[in-house]
Amino acid sequence: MTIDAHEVGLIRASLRHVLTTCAPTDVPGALLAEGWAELIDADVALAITVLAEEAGRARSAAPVVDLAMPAGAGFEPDATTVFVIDELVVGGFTRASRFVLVKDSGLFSIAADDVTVTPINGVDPSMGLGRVQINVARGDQIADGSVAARTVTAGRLALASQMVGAVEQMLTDTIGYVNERHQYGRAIGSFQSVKHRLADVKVAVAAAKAGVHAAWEAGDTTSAIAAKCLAGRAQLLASTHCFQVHGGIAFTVEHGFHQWVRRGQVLDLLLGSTDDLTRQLGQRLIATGSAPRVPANFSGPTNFQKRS
Amino acid sequence: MTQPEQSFATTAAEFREWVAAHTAELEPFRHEVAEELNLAIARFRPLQQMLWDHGWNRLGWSPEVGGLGGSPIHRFVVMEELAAAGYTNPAMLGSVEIIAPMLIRFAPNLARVHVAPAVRGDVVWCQGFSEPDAGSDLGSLHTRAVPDGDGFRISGQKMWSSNGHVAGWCCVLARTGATDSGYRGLTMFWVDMSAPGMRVVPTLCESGRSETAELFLDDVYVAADHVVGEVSQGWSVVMYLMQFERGAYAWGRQAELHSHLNELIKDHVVESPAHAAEIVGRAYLSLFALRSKCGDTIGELIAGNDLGPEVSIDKILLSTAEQVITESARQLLSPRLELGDDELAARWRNRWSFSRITTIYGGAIEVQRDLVAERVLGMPRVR
Repeated sequence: MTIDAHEVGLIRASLRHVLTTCAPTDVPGALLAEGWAELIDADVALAITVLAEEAGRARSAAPVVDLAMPAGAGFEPDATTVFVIDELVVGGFTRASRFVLVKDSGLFSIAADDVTVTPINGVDPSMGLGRVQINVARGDQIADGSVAARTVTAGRLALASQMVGAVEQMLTDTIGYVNERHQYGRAIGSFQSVKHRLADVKVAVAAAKAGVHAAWEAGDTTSAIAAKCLAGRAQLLASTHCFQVHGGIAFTVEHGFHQWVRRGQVLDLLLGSTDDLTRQLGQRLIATGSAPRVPANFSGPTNFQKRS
Repeated sequence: MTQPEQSFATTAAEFREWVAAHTAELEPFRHEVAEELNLAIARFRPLQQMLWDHGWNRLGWSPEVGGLGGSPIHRFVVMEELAAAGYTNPAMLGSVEIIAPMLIRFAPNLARVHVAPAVRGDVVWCQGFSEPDAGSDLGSLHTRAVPDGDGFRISGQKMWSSNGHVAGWCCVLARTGATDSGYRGLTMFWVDMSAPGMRVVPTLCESGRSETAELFLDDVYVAADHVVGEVSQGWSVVMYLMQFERGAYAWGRQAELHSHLNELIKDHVVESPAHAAEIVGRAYLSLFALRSKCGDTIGELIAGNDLGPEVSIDKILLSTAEQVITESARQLLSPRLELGDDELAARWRNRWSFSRITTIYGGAIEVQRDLVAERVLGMPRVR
């Protein structure tokens, strides 16, 4: 089934509506009621990409990975399964009926009663992170390592799209600011040094967005790692350059720019930071002795870019 | 023979088989060699001819210009497979990918005559755009074309004309409007490099090779039917061409850069320090970004969509990847790269040196950033 550009616009608007009107914990349930299962059946890559981009844009604390990871692995979506990655859970884990541990060897299900979650404030208290302590010897294995790898890949691509959405919104807000803010009798956005910083952010986010699409098409773990790195780099560049051209106002609590920086740091570290994944990528290439072309066969013009 | 309507994967598979069946003939084309341009062209001409004879580089060009029709993606797939198999694509095909689409769109009569010989390797093309006082600021160029009978006479000086001293034909951008007409008063011409009044002086580059040339035009006559597009339409014509220079050419380069990085990983990482993983990872990211973005761009170009300033993003990603990869090679191969007198050291030094110019030619990266900021992001223009 092909979803055309007009339909993508409608889907985007309806996801945005859910993300901006529901409490983060209620988002999974609300999406299921709105036909999330049908959407992932129709086009899982598109569904996850659009949801995550909109969540990033809205700086929503909704548990995007809890929706993306089962969808990528081919599980029936439900509103009360919470995924545990690197001992962390994201956004509104109080709704959990069970937790799913993501390990290299597979996925393991654990009843909510056997888990203790300690809330984390950290750099971004609004994200609703928690650290998980498991109180049983082991959970029930519900999937093998290959499914776990697909789960992680979907999670990484969702996080990448979340960063893409966040960077696009940061860029939009920042351009609005520098085009309005006057110093030396002119809009500061007319200074070349300001333009070049923001142009570099645009280049980085465009590359990340294209990288996410290429990685979905390729479907392998290596390209998902690469796509998340590109998004992480775009996020860091945006946090730096957009902060700088805002001037001192970005340093105030009232302005709120700092919330982008905080959210960006957390999104970057989940499922592997840019630094760690870049090294991992290098190790993989060295181990296999080649730099793979992704996707291996150029399939020609895809409508993905235009549609989404 | 490859059929225009078959899948790209089938073309790739057929071409891989062809390569496997022709390894002996292909052996001389493994690496580019750091030698003078006329020698390099002579070295790779038989490859271009061989690809023509077997139809590979004719894929995706229309039958009107001597091609086999179908989607140009078949041809891009072939270029990529050739690079992936460890061979070097003939450099001269790069300028065909940039210039031929412009001829086909704006001067179909010229395209019918000129495209096939260039694809086959019989003749080399160059561009006459930059001038001593008009580099990235192309709209300010001074070379004049004045009407003379049925045609024009062109006078002026061009520089940074890649392959200019070995080229048979050149697309020359000249001023037909008033001196102060800016980018509005420009016209594109298709000029015979052997025409009376054309003098060519090679420019010795720091790589030790003459890679570009200066062109001195003194009343060079160009017939009216050698105007590309309409008179005064030169800016749209050159901007159309730039989409291919910044898009299609970038696609070809990413294929080459993948094999350069492959070469680096295969041959040299073992001897390298512990930080190799990080260097290789970063180099790969620059390529992954380029390939992902360019793939989308190529799709748009082939669908006939004008991309406009968006292509500057591809151009920035390309020059970034070129420099990140050669700098990674320098880090991993040091001190062999700096001190070696062997062929491998010379080859990587040559690649490193070429990569320095990639943020300058075709519009400096500063100009590309201005274009992204002003035309894509909508920031204020002040000039």
